[in-house]
Amino acid sequence: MVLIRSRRCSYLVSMPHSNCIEILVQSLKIMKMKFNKSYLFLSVLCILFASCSKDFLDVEPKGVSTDIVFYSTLDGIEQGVTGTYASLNACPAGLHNLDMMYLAWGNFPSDDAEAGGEAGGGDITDFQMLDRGTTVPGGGNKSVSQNFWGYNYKSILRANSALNGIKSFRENNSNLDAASVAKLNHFEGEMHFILAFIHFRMVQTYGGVPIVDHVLASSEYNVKRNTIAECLHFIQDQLQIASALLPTKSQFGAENVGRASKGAAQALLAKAYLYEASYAKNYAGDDRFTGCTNTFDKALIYADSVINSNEYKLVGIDGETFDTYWSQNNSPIYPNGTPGYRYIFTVDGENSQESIFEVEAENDQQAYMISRGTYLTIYSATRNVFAADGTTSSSLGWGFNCPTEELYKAYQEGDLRRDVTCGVHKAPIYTTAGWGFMNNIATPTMMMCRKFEASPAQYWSTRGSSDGCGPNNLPYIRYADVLLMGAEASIETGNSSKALSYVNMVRKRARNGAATGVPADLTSCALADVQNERRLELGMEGHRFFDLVRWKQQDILIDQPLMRYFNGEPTTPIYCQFTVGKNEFLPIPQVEVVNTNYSLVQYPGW
Amino acid sequence: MISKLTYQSNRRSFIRSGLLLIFLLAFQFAVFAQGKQITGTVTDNTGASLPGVNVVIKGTTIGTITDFDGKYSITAKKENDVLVFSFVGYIEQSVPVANKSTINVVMKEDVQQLNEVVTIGYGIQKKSDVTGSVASVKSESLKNMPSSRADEALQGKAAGVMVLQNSGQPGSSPVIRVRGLATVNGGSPLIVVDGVSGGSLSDINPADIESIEVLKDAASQGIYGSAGGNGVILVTTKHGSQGKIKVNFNAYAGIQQPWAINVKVCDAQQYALLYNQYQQILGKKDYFTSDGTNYLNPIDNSVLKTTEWTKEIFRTGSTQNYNLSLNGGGKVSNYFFSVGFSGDQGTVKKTYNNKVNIRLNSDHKITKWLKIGENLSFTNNQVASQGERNEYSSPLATAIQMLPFVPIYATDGSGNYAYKEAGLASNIKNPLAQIEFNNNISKTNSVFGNAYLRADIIKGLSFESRFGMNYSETDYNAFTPVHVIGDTNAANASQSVAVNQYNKNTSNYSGWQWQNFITYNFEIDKNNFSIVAGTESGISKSSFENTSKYGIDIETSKWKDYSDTTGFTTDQERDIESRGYAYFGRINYDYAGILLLQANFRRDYSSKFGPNNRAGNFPSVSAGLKFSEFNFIKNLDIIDFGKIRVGYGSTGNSDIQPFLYLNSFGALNVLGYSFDGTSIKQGAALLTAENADLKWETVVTQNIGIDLGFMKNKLNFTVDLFKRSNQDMLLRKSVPLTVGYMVTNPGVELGDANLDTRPLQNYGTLNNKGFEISASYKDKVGDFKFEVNANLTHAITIIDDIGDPLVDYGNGRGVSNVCRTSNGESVSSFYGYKIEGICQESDLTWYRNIKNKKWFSVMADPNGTTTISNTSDINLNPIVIKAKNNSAKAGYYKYADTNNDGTIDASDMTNIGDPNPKFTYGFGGNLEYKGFDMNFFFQGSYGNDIFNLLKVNSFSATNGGLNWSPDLLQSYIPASYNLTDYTAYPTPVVEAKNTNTGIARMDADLSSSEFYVEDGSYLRLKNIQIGYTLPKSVISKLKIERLRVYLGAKNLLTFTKYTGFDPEVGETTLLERGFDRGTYPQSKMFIFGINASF
Repeated sequence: MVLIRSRRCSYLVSMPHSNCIEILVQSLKIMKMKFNKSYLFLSVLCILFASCSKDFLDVEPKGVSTDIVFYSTLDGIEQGVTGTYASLNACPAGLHNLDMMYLAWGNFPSDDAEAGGEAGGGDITDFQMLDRGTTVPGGGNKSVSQNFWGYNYKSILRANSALNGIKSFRENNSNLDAASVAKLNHFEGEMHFILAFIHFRMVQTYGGVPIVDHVLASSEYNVKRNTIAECLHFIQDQLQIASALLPTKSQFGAENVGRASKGAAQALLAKAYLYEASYAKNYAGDDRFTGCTNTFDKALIYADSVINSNEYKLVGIDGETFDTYWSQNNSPIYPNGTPGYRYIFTVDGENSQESIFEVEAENDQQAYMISRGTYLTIYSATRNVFAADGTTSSSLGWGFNCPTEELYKAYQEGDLRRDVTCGVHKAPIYTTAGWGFMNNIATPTMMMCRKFEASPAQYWSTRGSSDGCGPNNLPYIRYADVLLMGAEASIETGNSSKALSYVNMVRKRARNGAATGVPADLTSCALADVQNERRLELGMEGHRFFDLVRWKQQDILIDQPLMRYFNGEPTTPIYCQFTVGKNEFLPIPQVEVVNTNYSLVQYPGW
Repeated sequence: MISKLTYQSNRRSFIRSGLLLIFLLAFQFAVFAQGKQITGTVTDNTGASLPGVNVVIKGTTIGTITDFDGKYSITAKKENDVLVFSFVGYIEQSVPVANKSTINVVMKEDVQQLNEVVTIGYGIQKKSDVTGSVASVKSESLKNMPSSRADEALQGKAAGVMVLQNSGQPGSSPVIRVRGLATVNGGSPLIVVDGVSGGSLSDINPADIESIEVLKDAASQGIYGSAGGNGVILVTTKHGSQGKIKVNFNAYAGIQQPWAINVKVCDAQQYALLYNQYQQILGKKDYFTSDGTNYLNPIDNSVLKTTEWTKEIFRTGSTQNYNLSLNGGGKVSNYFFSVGFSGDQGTVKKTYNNKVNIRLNSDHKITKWLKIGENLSFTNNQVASQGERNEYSSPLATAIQMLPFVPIYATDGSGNYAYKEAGLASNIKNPLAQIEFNNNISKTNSVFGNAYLRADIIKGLSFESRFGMNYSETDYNAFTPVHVIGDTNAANASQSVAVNQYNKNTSNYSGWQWQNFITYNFEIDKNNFSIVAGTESGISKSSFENTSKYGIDIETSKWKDYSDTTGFTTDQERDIESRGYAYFGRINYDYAGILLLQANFRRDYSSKFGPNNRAGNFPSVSAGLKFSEFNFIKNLDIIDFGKIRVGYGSTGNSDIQPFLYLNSFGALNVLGYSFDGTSIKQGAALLTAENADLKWETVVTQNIGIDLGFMKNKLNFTVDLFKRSNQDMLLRKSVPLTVGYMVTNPGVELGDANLDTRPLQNYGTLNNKGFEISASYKDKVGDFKFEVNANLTHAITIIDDIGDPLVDYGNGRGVSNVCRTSNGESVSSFYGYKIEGICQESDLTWYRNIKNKKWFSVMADPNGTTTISNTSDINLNPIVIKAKNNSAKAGYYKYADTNNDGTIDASDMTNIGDPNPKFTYGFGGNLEYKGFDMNFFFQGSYGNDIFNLLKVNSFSATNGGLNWSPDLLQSYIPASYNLTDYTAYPTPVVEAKNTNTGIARMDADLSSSEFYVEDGSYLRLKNIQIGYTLPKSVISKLKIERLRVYLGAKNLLTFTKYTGFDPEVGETTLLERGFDRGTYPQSKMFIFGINASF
C-alpha cells in the first residue's frame, strides 16, 4: 500500500488555468486600451494550450474514510488496533464463530470429542466431516474451512495495515510525548503478536501456509505456500519483536487485561518452539517439516520466563472459591462457592490471574451479526433440558462439542475437572426457569462440554436472538498450559524434577489447593504423564488434536471411534479416517487454490 | 493583415446581420419613400393566402408584411430593386421589380428542411452534413405534450432513445437509456444544457426548449470522451431574437385518474370462501359460513362488508400548468425570459408536485466582433410522496394485502384507523393510515446556467469561452406523528407509533465547468474544413447529511422546526468531490457537400480513477456520402435525398462514485473489542481494497446509417445499425481469501448481507447491438395539412466474461436473486423454474406404510433417503414427478427438470424471462384543417417481461393474513387436501375442479417461477389533443396575435395484458429491471388549455 498517495492541495492553487485567468484579465485590459484583437488571439492560444496541472486531480477524499485518514491520528491507530483484535472473534457468514472453529479443529478429530449438533449426525456437514476425517478440499455445505482461512487472513491484513499506520504515524510525527511513544510501542507489539498468533493458528490447522507480513498489492495476489519451519520461524521472529515492545500484564493494568502482553508473547513463543521441536523430533524425514530443529531448550526458556515473572497464578491453588451463578442459593453444584478450575471458565472468572491470552466476547445486547458476543456459547450449550419437575423439555443450545466416554474415563473418580469438562445426562443445569437437568439423549455421546457455559441471563440478548451474543471468552493460553509446556520441555531437555514440580502445581489446583485428594501429587514424571495431564487439564479447550499430531500419537488418531455412547449400547462404530502423512493437517480450501490460480498447492494425498 | 481581413469579414457579416435585422424589424419601421407602389398577394402552393410574410426591398431597411388576406403594398425606389419574400417554413424568394406594379408570389414550402441545423458537441452542423447518428427533437414536437418535465416529453419521440417511466408519482424522474445498455454502471446519458454538462432534464421546463439532440454513436459522442459512452443529450434552450417584444402565454388544467386498476383482490365473500378452503387444507374448521357471507361464530351479526382498499388509496387528482414567456431584443441585446408553474395532485392520496421554473437567457453585442451572454435557470420543485416499490409495506402493496372486510376505521368509534379483524392474524398496515401518517416532502432548489463570451477573430475563426455552474439543494423530510391504529381490543401495538419520528435528509450539489475552444471554418475551392479545438475543466461536489430524530415532544404543525436538537439519534454525513479536465478537437471535412468526413479526439483526465489511469484517449471517426448528389442518382428521379453514414470510435463510461480506487477504512460496531472485560472500545478496519489501476469503461461503437428522402422529401427515412462493445466493465471481483478482504458472503460481517465489499475492477464485456428506424411523411392537400412520423428501436444487450453471474438483485418477499445477469445472457434476465403444468393426483407415486397401513405419496427421490423403510412397499404408479424438492402434492406446480437429472432443485432454475423489450416504438401525427388541429402520439414497448412480485402477496397461503387473488377460486382443488394421510388408496381418477387452469392450489410452493412472469408489452396513447386557433379577425381586436384553445388527454388508451398496477415498471437499478414491487400507476389526464401570443 502506498501511504503517501493523495497530496493535500489547496483549492485555488490547484485550480487549472489560474494562470490563464491572469492572462485573460491582462488581455482584456490591453483590449480596452488598444482594441487589438491579435492580443486576444494570443491570449486565447495561451488559454487553449496552457497545460492543466495534474495536481488539480488530487482531490482530498472528503467523506470517504481511508486508512490514511484513520492513521493520521493516534486515536485512529487505536481504532485500527482494536479492529484487528475484533477479527479474532469474528463471526463470519454461516454463523461459524472463529472461536468455535478453533475448538472444532482442536477437538473433533481427536479421541476426546465428537462434533455433535442436531440428532442424526448431519448438522453442519463440515464439522461432521472434520470429525470423521472425511474433510475434502472443496469443503462441505457451509465451507467452514474456507471461512476459517479467509477470516484468519482478514486478521492478518488488519494487523499489517495497523503496522503500516503506526509506521507512517511515527514518520509524520517526530516530536511525540513519552505517553504517545509508549502507546505506539505497545500497539506495535500487539500487532506483531497477532500476526504471530494467527499464523500459528493457521500452521496448527493447515501446516505450511503463505506468510503474509504486509498488505498485499494486486500483483502479489497469487500467494505461495511457505514451509512449516518458515512459518514457525516467522512466528518466533514476530513474537521476539512483540516481547521486546510489550509491557507485562500488570504494567498494562486491569483496563488492558484483554491485550496481548509480554507474557502472552513469551507463552506463545514457548508454544511455537515446542511445536517446532516436536515436529523435528517426531517427523524426521517428512518433507512437510523440513527445516524444523530441536528447540525444546528455547521452549523451556520462554515457559520459565512466564512462570518466573510472577504475573500469573493458578486460580484456586490457595483454596480460594468464588461467587458465581454456579454457587448461588439452592444450587445443586458448588453451593459453598465455585472452585478455581470451574471459575476460570465462567463469565465472572474471565481474565483471571491465570489468563495469559483470551479472545474477548461481550454480550453487548446488539443484534445478531453485529454483536460483539460469541457463538461459542450457543454452539456448546446442550440442545435440551428438563425442567426441575423432570417433565418438560425445552431447547437451550445447539449441542456441539461433545466429550467422549474415553475422555470421561480418563479422569480419576473425584477429579473436579471431570464434571467441569464433561456434563453427563441429567446433570443439573441452570435455565431461564431456574435449575433443571441436562437432557443429552440427543447428543452422540450423551455428554456436553460444560466449559464456556453462561447463565441465560448472561447470554440472552434483549434484541431477541441470543445466537451470537454469548459472553464467554475462549482462553487460548492460560497459565496451566504454560506450566505443562514447561514440564514437557523440561523432560525433553532432561530435567524431570522441574517437570514434576510443574505438573504437581497443576494437580494441586485441580484439588482446589487441598493438600491431599484427587488428583494426588505425582511422585515421578515422564513424558506420558505430562501428555496425560495436558489432556485432563486442557480437555475440550481445542488442544488435543494438535497435541496428538505433534506427538505423532498415530495409534490414538487412527483407531479413534467416531461415536461411543456413554452408558449406552455402542452401535456399529464408525472410525475416524485418519491417514498418516495426510490427515495431520486440513487441506487448503479448494476455492483458494482456484482463486490464486493454482499457485497454492495441496500437500500430497489431498 | 489580420485586421484588414477582419474588417472585411465584419463588414460582410454586418451586412448579413443587417438584412436579418431588417426582416425582423420590418414591421416596426415605418416606410417613408418616394417611388413606385407595388402591390400583390402572397399565397402558398395550394392557393391559400399567406398572412404575415415579410416583404423587404433587398439591401435596404424598407419592408412590410402581408395582411390577413396575404396582400401587401410596398414602394420601390428603383427599377432594379429586388423584393425578398420570406416566411418561416417556406423557401425565401427574390423577385426583381423591373417594371411590374403587381407582384404575386407563390411561396414554396421548405419541406426538405435540409438547411435545418442540429446542435452537436461544441458547435452546430447542418443536419444534412451530419455523419454520426444524431436524433433531433424540435420544440414543435415537444410543445403539445402536457408535461412539466423535459425527460417525460422526450418519451417515444426519437428512435434509439428509451424513456422508462419509473412511476406515476408526480415529480418522479423517468430513466433514459440510449440504445439499450452500454454498461451495468450508471447508464444514464450525459445531459448537456446550452453547451454545459451536468444539467438535469427534469428541471428543464419543456416550454423553454428550442431543441433536443441525442448523440447516439461514438462518432457524435466522441468529443465528450469518458462521459459520452451512455449517449449524450444536448438541450438548447430558447433565445431572444431581435424584434418587438413577443409574449407567449400557455396554460392548461385538468383532472387525472389512475389509468386503470387491473390488480385483482378478493372481496369479503371471496376471501371468506378461500379462507375456509385454507382451513380445510390445514385440517381445521371453517371460519366463515359456507356461502362466505358471515362469520361462523359471529363476532358480530352483520353481513361481511368489503372495503375496496385498492380503490380507496386512489383519488381523482388534478393538474395545472402555466407558462409565460417574453422574447425580444434590439440591436445590442436579445433576451428570452420565462416563468412557469406547474402543480400536480397525484392519483394516490396525498401526493403532489409543485414546480416553479424561471429562465433568463440573454446575449449582448459588446463590439462588432465580441458577444457575451448567459443562460440561467432556477427551479423550485416540491414533491410529496408515498412509498412505492416496496412489496411489504408501501400503501400500494398494503392495499393489496389488507383483508377485505376490515373497515377503514375502527368500529369502536374512537376514530382510529383499523388494522385487523379480531381473530384473524394480520399485521398489515392500514394503507389509508399509512397515507395519513406518512409525511414525506422533498424540496429542491436548483440553479443551472452559464455565461459565455464569443469573439469572431478573423473570418471563419472564432473563440468561445463558457463558464457553467450548477447548484442544487435538496431537503427531504419525513415525519410520522404519534398515532394509534387498531380497534380498542387490538393487542398488537406494533402498528402504533408512540413517539414522533422524523428523518431529515439534505443534499447539496455544486459544480462548475469552464470551456475554451476555437472554431475555424474555411474553404479551399470545394473543400470545406471546420476545425474545433479546446479545453475543458470542472469540479463537481456533493454533500449529504442524514438525521433522524425520535421521541421529541413537538406539535405536529411544528415538525419542520429543527432548532430543537434533542433526541437526534443518527447523523450521517458524506462529502464527495470529483474533478476533471480535457483537451478535445474535431475536424470536419467535406468535398462539395457530397463526401463528408469527421474525426474527433478527446483526452480526458479524471480524479475519479486510480492514479495509474487518470488520463484516457477517446478517438472516433466517421464518414458520409450524399449519393443523391451524383447525377446518375438524380436522373433516376426517385430519391431526392440520400446519404450513407459510417462511424467508428471509442467513448467511455465514468459513471461511478469518486474515490472507489481508494481503500475504505471504517468504524463499525462489529469491529469493537473489549480490553477490560466489560466495556467495548470502538474499532475500525480496512473494508475494501484499493485499486490504483481503476479506470473508466471503454465503449467501442460502430454505426452504419442511411438517410433517405422521397417524394420531394415529403417522405423521409432514417435507418441505423449499431454495435457497441464495453470491454473494461467496472465490476466487483473476488480476490483470494489470503489477501484478507473477502469472505464467502461479503458484507454479512458488516450487518448487511447485500453489501458487497469486493474491490471494483475493470473486467467483463458487454455487447449491445440493434437497429433503429424512423420515418416521417408530411403533406398538404388544400387546407388540410398533415404529418405523421414513427420510430422503432431494437436493442439487445448481452453480457460476457464476468465470471460468476451477478445475482444480488431481484430479492423480495419469498423470492431471491430473480434478476440474474449471467454470461451470454441478456442483462438482468429473470431466473426461476419453468412450469410444465399442475401436478395431478394420478401423477404421484403412492406408497403404503407398513406400520400404520396408511397410504402416502412421495416424489421419486434420487438420493434414496425417503421414509420408505421396506422395499416391498407398493409402487403403484411410478411416474416421475417434476416438482420442487420432491415434496409436491397434487395441485402444486410441476416444475421442469431442465438439467434432466431426475430431481427438481435449484440447478433447474433457468432463464424464464427478459425484462428488455424486443422493440420500443412511438408514432404520432399532426392534422390541421383551417383553424382546427389534432395531434396524437402513441408510445409502446413490445416483448418485455415483467416479474410481478406482488403476486407473492396475493397467491401465497401465508396464514390468511394477506388478502388473496380471486383467481385462487379457480385453482386446483384435489379430492383430499391432506394427501400424506390417506387411510385408503385414493381413486386414481379424482374428481377435481379445474385441473388445468394454470393456478396452483393455494398452499403450493411459490418459488421464483414462470408463474410470476408476465408479458409487459404495452401500447399507450400518450397524448391526444384537439385544438382550434381563433381567426385573426376575431382576436386582433383583443390585441392578441394568436389564440389556440384545446382539449387534450394523456394516457387515454392503454393496451396491455399486464395485471399489475402499470406496465411501465421501469427499473430499480440497471441490474434489477422490470421487477414490479408495486409501481405507482401512470395517470390518465384530461385537460383544457390555451396557447396565446401577444
